Amino acid sequence: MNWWSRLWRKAELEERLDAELRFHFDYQVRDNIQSGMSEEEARRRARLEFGSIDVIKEQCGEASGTLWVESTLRDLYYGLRLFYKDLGFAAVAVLTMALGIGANTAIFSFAKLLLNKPVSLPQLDRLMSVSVVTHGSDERLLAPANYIDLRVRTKSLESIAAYEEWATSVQGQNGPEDIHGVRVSEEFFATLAAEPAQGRIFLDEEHQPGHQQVVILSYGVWQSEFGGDSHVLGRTLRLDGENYEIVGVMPATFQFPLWGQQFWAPLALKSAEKSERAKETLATVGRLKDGATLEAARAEMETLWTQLQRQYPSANRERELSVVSLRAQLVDGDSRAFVILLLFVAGFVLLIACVNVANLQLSRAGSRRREIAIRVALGATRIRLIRQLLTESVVLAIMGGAVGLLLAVWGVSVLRTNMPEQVRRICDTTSLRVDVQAFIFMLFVAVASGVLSGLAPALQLSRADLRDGLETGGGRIVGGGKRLQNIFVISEVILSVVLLIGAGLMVKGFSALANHNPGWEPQNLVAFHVNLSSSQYAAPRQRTAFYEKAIDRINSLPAVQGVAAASGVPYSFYENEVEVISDAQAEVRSRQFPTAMQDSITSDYFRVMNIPLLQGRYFDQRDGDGAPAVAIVSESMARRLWWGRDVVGRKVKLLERDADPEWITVVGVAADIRHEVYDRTFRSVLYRPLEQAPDEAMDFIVRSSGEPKQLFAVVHSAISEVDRNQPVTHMQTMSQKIREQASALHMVATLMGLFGLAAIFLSAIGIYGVITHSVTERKREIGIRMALGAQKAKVVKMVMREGVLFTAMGGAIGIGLGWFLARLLSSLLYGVQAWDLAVYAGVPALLLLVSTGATAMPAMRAVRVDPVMALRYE
Amino acid sequence: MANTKTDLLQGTLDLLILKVTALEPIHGYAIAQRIQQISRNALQVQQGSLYPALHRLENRGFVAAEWHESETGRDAKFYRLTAKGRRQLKSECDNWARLSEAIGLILQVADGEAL
Repeated sequence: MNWWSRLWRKAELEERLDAELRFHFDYQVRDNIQSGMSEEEARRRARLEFGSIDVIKEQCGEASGTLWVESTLRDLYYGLRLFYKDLGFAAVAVLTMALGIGANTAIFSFAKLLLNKPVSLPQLDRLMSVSVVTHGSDERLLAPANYIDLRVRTKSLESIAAYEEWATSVQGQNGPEDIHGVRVSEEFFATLAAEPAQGRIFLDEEHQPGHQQVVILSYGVWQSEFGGDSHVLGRTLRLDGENYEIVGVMPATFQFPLWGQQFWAPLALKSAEKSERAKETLATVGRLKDGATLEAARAEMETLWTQLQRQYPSANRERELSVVSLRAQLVDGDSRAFVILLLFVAGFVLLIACVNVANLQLSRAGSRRREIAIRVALGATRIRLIRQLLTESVVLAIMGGAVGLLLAVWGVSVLRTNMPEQVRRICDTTSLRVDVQAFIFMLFVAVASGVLSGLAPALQLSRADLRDGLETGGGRIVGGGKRLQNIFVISEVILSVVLLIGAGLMVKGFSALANHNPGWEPQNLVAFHVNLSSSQYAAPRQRTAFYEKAIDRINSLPAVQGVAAASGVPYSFYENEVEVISDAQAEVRSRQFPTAMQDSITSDYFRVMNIPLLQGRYFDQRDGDGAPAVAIVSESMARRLWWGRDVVGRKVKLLERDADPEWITVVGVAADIRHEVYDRTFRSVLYRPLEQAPDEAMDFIVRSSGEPKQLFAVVHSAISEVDRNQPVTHMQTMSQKIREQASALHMVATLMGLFGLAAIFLSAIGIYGVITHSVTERKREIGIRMALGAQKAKVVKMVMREGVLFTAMGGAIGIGLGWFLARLLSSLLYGVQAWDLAVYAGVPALLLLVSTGATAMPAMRAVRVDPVMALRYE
Repeated sequence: MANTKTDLLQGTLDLLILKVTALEPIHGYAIAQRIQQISRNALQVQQGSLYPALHRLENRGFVAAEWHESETGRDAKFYRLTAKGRRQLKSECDNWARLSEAIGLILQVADGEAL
């Protein structure tokens, strides 16, 4: 019989062993009687001689080599039995651990993706990007002529490719639809080591102007527009009214660049573009040569750049080159900081969870002393006892891990599907999966904390004086454990307060950004984008005519209070930085010129936006094309250029490289408005009349008298009436726009809020556990007090004082620590100050409320105890 | 009672059991009785040692067990020596003989003689 079948037929074997031992016992009794003892005496003798039958049985099991399996199974069974015997404890412990493991695994998986492999490209470490640092803009681009020169001269790069966004439109079933593509240089696919799933990449001659009517489809467009047609090669894609032959389809895994690209087309620079050095339009990606480091490439590029600066001083003067890894280019410092912040926050929750589990174990150990004492009295060895308790803790940890894994899977899928646009642009979130390493690590932490916290009580219990344990029969814990528990609870409170302060600041900041906008009213506004890129709008006059007609049409719609257009409305990621010279500094030969954002607007813009005009006048019919050039400046610009004094009538001109521009007269000053969510200061804005500074792409804003969303359809058809083929994009309410732009902040705030709630929930459990335990321990004392006539209220107060004391101590330290950390991380706070009083007052108040609740329950239970019962308890 | 019994040397219980079971199939209680009788009450086998030893020997294949009726008509577990057990018994007996001879030689030496 092998050990497995012995194990299998355990019951049968036990029965046999039982029969065998009983046979022996009975014969012993019989012989004892024969030797003249009374039956009673005979039995007593036999029993004495026999000793513990259970010990014999266990030793027999050991002899047959199955004991370790059996006893482990038995321990497991005891561990599981705990789940129905002490369901409350087990459920809380498992949930606590699951929360810590699940949240951490999900966040860790996300962080690892973002920090490590934001795009799934082979050898991401070898990819880098070169760009010119543009003042005040996040965009990292290079002018074509500079790109071409660097491409030819570099020796440390294997290749460097350029690409630019191409937003265009296809004819869909319901009129023209937006489609986003990328124009790429000939090195693009080779640099990224990407192969098409079907067809081919572009030929060199297709990068010549006039031969570029070919496209490579993304897997997504191949599926959605062509139904995954296997004969798609050779078919045509009609973009902006022109036919492009499909020559290839990329695999679903290829996602680069990340801004929602749907197809790739050849970049075919005309000779005029090839010599363009001043306007940065191309993004770049390069692959380092084998053996070359990023530092070497950076040094080389800087040398080359100095050469180019010397060669073309007018264009490249005072511009800096930046060479960064592709990873760093995708995920900037702020995003990284946010993710690391989330990691820390999740780590805090895990820490709180572990402390909580340890705490629960300690509490339970106290109340199990009697059980342990009985076991020891019945002959359990110390090792056996420790093993049983450890098995229990491990069972608990593994259950927690299993539920945690479920939570992690769920959390990751929630993260994946709710990833805000802002994050999707820097990281290929579709490939977000539960990171197995992360999970194993978290599981390890949980098991370790389970085992360690299980170990302390196990050692303590087995050391416990037997008689003491049996006699008092109570749940008393030795002094060291109690002190440890108090420390645990206080540190839990500290961690929670720190976490809640962080969460409070984030949430408050986000809601301030989303809901309060100084300077103008975002409510009831609809915004949409129109790009007049087709050939019929080549002349500025044609574009102006379109805008006028469109504004007239929309104005005549019911429920429309006003309509205006601007080259960039707030929250549309608009950047049009220009350098300006004011009349005040024209004489000063400064090398550093102030910058401003130029925004071309129609005359009603301020009225529709409700931006107050502080000085001067609005634009009107006087300011047409050919009339004297005029501008309205923002308050901040007026202050920066002219110290805010006598601004109307002052003059300013744009700094252009090779031309002498005309002076522009300031006719008004408009109030400052916040343009983008992440702006920390008000921008200098130079508003120009559209007629004098025509722009081919404009944002329209429509103020509605009712629910703005109801205008979407009618506004859309109004534009169609003006031009049936003109696509309208980004139709949104202004509030939606703000929310979308703040979406990353929203995500961080939401996650932190959730973690904060988890923390406070866990702390409440911690406090509750400790108070409950101390009430059990003081049952006798409470009984005596009440028997001697203490008032219930007084006893409740006495019990609660302990809990409130913990909260107060932890709270005070937590506030200090939280304030310190918030100041340290103030660069991540938007819309709120690091010392926001409401948060610092609200968090302790909330915590006090929760801890009062958590202590009140056991306190109330304590006074309901019948004093007689409590006294008789021992 | 406890002070009159001689402690068994580690491992010798196995030898005794093998020897007793070599005569005829026998149940646990009878094994204990037989050892006690033959040793004229000098050796008393505790149940706590006997049964684990029996199970250990069974597990290693030196003895085989069968349930059948005992002399009183009640079912008992009878142990008998297997061929493997017989070989084991022989080698242990030889071992024991060598060991006791060696120990006897040492003990026979008179006190002064050793120096």
